[in-house]
Amino acid sequence: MNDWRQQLAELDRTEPDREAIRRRLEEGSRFPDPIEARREPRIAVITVATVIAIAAMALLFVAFRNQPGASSPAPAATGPASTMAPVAPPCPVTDSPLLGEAGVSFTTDCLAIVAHRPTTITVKAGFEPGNDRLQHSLLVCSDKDCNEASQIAGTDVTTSPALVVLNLQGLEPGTYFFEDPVHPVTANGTLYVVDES
Amino acid sequence: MLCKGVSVDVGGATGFDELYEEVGPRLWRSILAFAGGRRDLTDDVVAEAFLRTLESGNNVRDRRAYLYRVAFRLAAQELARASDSSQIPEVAMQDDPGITELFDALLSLSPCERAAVYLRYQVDLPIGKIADILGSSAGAVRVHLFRGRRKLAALLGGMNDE
Repeated sequence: MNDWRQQLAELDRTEPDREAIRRRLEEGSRFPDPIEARREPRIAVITVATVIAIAAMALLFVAFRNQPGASSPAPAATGPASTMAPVAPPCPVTDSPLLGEAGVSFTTDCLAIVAHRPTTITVKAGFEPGNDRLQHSLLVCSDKDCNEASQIAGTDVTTSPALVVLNLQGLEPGTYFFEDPVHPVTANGTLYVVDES
Repeated sequence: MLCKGVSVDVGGATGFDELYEEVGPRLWRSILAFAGGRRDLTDDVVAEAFLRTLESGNNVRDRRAYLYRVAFRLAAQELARASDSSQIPEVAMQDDPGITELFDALLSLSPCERAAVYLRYQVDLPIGKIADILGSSAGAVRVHLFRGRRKLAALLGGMNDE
């Protein structure tokens, strides 16, 4: 048995306090009503947004009143550009992108597809001599870290030689990222989603 | 419908005791793993999941599956709330060095990776069931398992294999 599995089995030495659970249960629900819980933040968000909007309008009014005849300056861009902002792709736009996986790397780090159109990305992995029996998968994410919150679509982990097929629903225009979570350091790239025109 | 302060009769042969005997300790450890060792959160969530399951009575076809699903959803909600408000509770079981090391390693996994690994390798659930419990897909669970195994193998030793 592997070490981590032996240690994981140690978790079974921990014992719940049955009576504590029973007592909590008898006291009734400690959790907010799910419907109320959803409503409260919504009200809070609307209130904050309203206050911010009123404050912004007041500031604009004061700015116009103090500088008669002068047009207000355009607000300067702040912060880095969103990764979701559409940019011109440095690689050709294709309908059905094919990624080669040579060993533990993709054969390209750039894919470009058309927005709002279902697309299939295929990874052809492990067909070269000596590159079989490696595991592969494909994730498409909204940010480069590709953590759970940013994962948009993914495939099963499969053992090569295999075709890994990822079906994407139509994506909004922007810049996305793809990676093989089995080899994230070497097998990754940028997916550009562009308008049809 | 559940609301704060409502109490239920948890006694009787078909109530808490029977259900607890059947699934209680395993469910509790699954949630403990998911919550990264937060015992208080685990007790609250498990009690609430039992409460909701018992309240549902005969409306639930598979009480065990329902209990697991409710417990994991509540735990995910509570972890998100704790994370949002920076109220990260202390990790439990600090008096046992072996368990502490395990939880230190488990905390380097995401909650879904922790849950998938525990449900697969300790509770011995099939991937489809785990996906159902976590409200995820089989493919995503396989990725969670792969990543979870890889991290645990790097931290605790052993192989990243099935």
